[in-house]
Amino acid sequence: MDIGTYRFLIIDDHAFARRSVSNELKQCGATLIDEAADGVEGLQKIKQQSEAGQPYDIVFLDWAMPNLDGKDVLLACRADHALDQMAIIMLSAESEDENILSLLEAGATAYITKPFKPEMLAHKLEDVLSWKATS
Amino acid sequence: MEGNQLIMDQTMEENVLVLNEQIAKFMQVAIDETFMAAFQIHTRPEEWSIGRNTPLLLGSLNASQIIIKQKNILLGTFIAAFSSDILRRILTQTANNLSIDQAMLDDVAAEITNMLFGLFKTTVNKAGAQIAMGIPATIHESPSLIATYAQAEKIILPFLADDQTCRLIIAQKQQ
Repeated sequence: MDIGTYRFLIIDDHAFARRSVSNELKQCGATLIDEAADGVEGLQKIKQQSEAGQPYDIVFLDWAMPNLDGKDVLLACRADHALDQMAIIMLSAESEDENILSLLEAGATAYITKPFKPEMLAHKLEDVLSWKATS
Repeated sequence: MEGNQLIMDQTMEENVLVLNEQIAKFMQVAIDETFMAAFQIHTRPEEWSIGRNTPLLLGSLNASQIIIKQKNILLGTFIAAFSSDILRRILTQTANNLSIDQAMLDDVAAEITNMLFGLFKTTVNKAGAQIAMGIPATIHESPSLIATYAQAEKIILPFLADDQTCRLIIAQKQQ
């Protein structure tokens, strides 16, 4: 499947972080990229797109955010059967194993530790696309 | 635990983050790894200092802070400050289609502070400190901020990022 047909959502409270990920995705060939500035807006967009029959394929989700944090968004998505196939890649400056494990156990598809080299995002995206193709 | 004793003083009634050479090294590692991994920018440390009554000298730098907590107990604050020029370079290089205003400089300063603190936290916790992650907040040097940290024990690590002046500061909670 052409990456240009995948729908992406980037949820991060920092515009700089959103745009950095967005630029990397564009480098990889992505074209359908949406952004949300916090967990509340992000969850709202996820549900709206799902109800409209055009769910996001891959969500990049920051963990530490005010109001609704990334883990709460992750848990809300995994509690909704309509969003089962949506890949969620968590982004965080948390790099301790137990914290990463807690997110994977909560249903995260993959995890990227900040700071990351640009090629790291591309590699992780490749892994997730392979997972989606076989799931 | 030996490592814990090096960075946490538990002989007092409350835990205290000990500011010493080891902490300065952890700060330097966080700076090096953050700027190289995320932005491919070399950094060069300048002489660090520890003491009270040392000015923050944030001046025109763009600063952000994260509260340092251990099991919800306040230990101190982690402040990172960057020149506008280095932030502009990073924005141009990494997110080149954003308009650059003060709010955007604050945004990228906060995000870099978040990365720095994440790496610092990991190394400190490997040594047994068990500090927690917080959310960065933009700060401006103001009379109230200066008063808050004027008497606090601080470790100040100035560094150059692509020859631009930046500072990383850890201030203990005042006893």
